[in-house]
Amino acid sequence: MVKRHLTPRLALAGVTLVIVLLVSFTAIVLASAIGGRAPGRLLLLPMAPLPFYLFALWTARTAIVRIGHGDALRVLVSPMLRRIGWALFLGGLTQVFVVPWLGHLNGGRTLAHYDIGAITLGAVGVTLVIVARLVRDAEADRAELDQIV
Amino acid sequence: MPITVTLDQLLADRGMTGKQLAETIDLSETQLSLFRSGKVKGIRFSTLERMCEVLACQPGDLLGFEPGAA
Repeated sequence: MVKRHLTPRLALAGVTLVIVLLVSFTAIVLASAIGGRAPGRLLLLPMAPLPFYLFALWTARTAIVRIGHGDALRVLVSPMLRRIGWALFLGGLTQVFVVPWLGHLNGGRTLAHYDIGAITLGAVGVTLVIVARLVRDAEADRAELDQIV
Repeated sequence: MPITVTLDQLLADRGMTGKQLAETIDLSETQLSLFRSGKVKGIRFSTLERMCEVLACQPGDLLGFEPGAA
């Protein structure tokens, strides 16, 4: 009898909850912005990185589901890290440069925003992309070594 | 591949099956089968040593060389 591990289920529940909360909050803000109320429109611009972060969360969730279904971990890890890494990097880039630039087009005064969190996320994203490549190369080496008896 | 594996003949001479050899040298039957058919990329010295010990042979008795073979 296969023992079912609690950790993947908890991780899946946690990630799903975060996604649901983010999407719900975004829907509320969008509805407010479409309704023409000023606070809604003001909140819309800083949410520009959200699609990237949601993609990162969704990728993590998908990987957890596939692991739960028994897919090989070593096949999933590298693509997952690469996708999450790029998503975090682009989200951070958007937060630091794109959002202020868009604000600048709407009368704002800055072209970049010193956001420590976003910069850190971007740096972590780049690191994950690099690690993904290392994992992929290590897996290729391992596959080659497996062919030596 | 120019390197050929002549284990089959040796096993026949010793009256041993591949399964018995695999069990004795702690190799899976799949791995031994791949080795016998020449579909591996290499063999560790430790594996070669165990094979020679069990089959009482030299490494050269297990491998051959056919230049120009695909």
